[in-house]
Amino acid sequence: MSDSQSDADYFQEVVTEIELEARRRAATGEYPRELLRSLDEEFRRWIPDASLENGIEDTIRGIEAASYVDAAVPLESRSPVGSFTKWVVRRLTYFYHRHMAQQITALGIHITRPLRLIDASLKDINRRLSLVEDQLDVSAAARSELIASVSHLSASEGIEEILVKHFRGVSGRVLLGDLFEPSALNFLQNQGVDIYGVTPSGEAATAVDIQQAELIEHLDHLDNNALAGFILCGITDRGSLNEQLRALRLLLLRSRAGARAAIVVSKPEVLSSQLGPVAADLLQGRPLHSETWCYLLSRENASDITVSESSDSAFCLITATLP
Amino acid sequence: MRWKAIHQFVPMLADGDAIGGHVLWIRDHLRSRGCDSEIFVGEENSATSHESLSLQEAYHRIRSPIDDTLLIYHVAQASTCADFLASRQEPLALIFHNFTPPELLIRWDPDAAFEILNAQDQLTELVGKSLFAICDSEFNSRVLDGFGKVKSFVIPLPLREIERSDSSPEEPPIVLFVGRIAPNKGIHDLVACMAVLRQNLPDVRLRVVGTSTSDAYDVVLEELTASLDLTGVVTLTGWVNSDDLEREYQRASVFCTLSDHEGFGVPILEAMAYGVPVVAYDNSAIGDTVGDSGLLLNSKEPTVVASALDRVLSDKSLSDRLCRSGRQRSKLFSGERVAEALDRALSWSSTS
Repeated sequence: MSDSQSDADYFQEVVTEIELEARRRAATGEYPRELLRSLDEEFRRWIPDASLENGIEDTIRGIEAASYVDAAVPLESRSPVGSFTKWVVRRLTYFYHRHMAQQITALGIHITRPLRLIDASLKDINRRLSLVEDQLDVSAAARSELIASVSHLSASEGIEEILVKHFRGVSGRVLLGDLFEPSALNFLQNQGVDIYGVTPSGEAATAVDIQQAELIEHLDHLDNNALAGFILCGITDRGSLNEQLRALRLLLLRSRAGARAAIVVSKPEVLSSQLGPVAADLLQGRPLHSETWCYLLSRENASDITVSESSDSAFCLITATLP
Repeated sequence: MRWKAIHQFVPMLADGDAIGGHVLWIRDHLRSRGCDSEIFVGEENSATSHESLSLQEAYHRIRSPIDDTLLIYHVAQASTCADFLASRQEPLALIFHNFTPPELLIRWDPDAAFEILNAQDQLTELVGKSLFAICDSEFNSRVLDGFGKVKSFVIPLPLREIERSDSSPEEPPIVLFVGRIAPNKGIHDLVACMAVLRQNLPDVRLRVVGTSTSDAYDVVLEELTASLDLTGVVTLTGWVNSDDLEREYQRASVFCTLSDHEGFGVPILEAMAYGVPVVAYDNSAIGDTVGDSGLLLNSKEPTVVASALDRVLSDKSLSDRLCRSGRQRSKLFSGERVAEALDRALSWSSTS
């Protein structure tokens, strides 16, 4: 075997070992999961977004700016004679330069006008497409009605004491979302928890500490390490699997080390029996089992993971402490 | 060889970059063989104006009979040279350095992306009238096939002479990247890897040596570095002269590239020649360049790259073997070997 071949085999073996080692380090937390998550998020935050749309706008503006020609040539010169000479030349040739400049500027306008029309037309098509998409979603109205019929977390579910105990002594803001009625929030506030709510419903946004927004959208705009804890609910019953996982991922990212986590989720079998077959079929989302949430939290190296049930056995509360 | 004059055309003759060095090397080689040879540029550069002539001067300067004159065009970006050459009667050869794919640029620099599309159109037109082409790598040769049928030779860029140094890399360790600071070079991936690598090697540093080509990307790198708490860990040196470049290679513990697209990789070979172990993300022509003498990664996931760099920095026997193997490989790209290959291609063209 030649040196080169033996090197090639050895280096290939090393690469295989490296890949296994990388997986091991990620799995054991030697490479912290919150760091790996933050790398994705950080780059997504800084990369230019909506590049195509901005690109068209910027390009048109660039053409417009570049096509404007100023016929008034600058007169500055290091010597007064130079400046005077330039002034004379400018006076003598101004009629000519202005004529040329007007033609070039007019050309620029003629070029950018159709581009702007195309741009406007594309935006109009996009707008109409989104309207059509809404119309095509034939079950949207039915789903809204069904969502309204799903029961929500309130302070009367018998889990409030556990929440109070879990968040007692936490220094910093705790987020509760999705929030559909304020009793749980009020209860925790009265117990000294610095908590605020996020709700997609305008009706529920009744207090200063309740912000009306989609939970994921709100989390998208929050700074990393802004939260001392969170209570995730609502979306856990109705959101698609992707929405639920995205919400958890963002909450983990926005929570500081040692933050307290709580997840309230309907028991799938109980919710299913409450909803009946029609709603179960038409709702896009479904609650995950408490075991799944425990698995997801343990995968993030959360500790003290505990599952409790509400007094009517309809909800599960999963509490944990983040690494 | 029947060519009495072989003139090169290049969009712009940059000072100190791989293509600029290649153009000058070919001219000197041709002149040493008694051939009349000039460099004509589409866009003048004050730093290299003493080495080149403008395109307008080509009309007066190219006087040899058509059959004795070969024109060579270095293809890397759109240029007025292409229009000039399309109108000429002399035999034409292409040296294809490849283009950055527009899709890698459009998000960051739409103007540059559109320029690449123009360059692709120009290449399509020129391939048809070319006698032959020289490609830096097998990868480039395959890409060129997509633009039309032309006889092509794979001849790498020559590696400048590098004197072996016995200096040891610095402590704490330095990860080095040399090349343009552009989004397609994956500098942001390297920055991300540093955040992970520092979990095990808190003192490690990254030095990125090269000229920036995108303001938007510079801002992202700056923000990313700050938000990952890597200020002071990651250094972008900007353009450096050849002495400083040599010092950067000598200080480095490992060279790492996570570029998404390379037609060839001169800095990889330079690192090898300086005895710096190479870790690279395997894509485009990177594999052709690294050969069997570096760690070629199938993924540029931060965990994988960080583990690879950690391994090289902590496993002396692996590091030594990479150094030795790299030095051996770099010899394959010596000026003499490349000159022989170039002469063979020119001889073929003079008889065809």
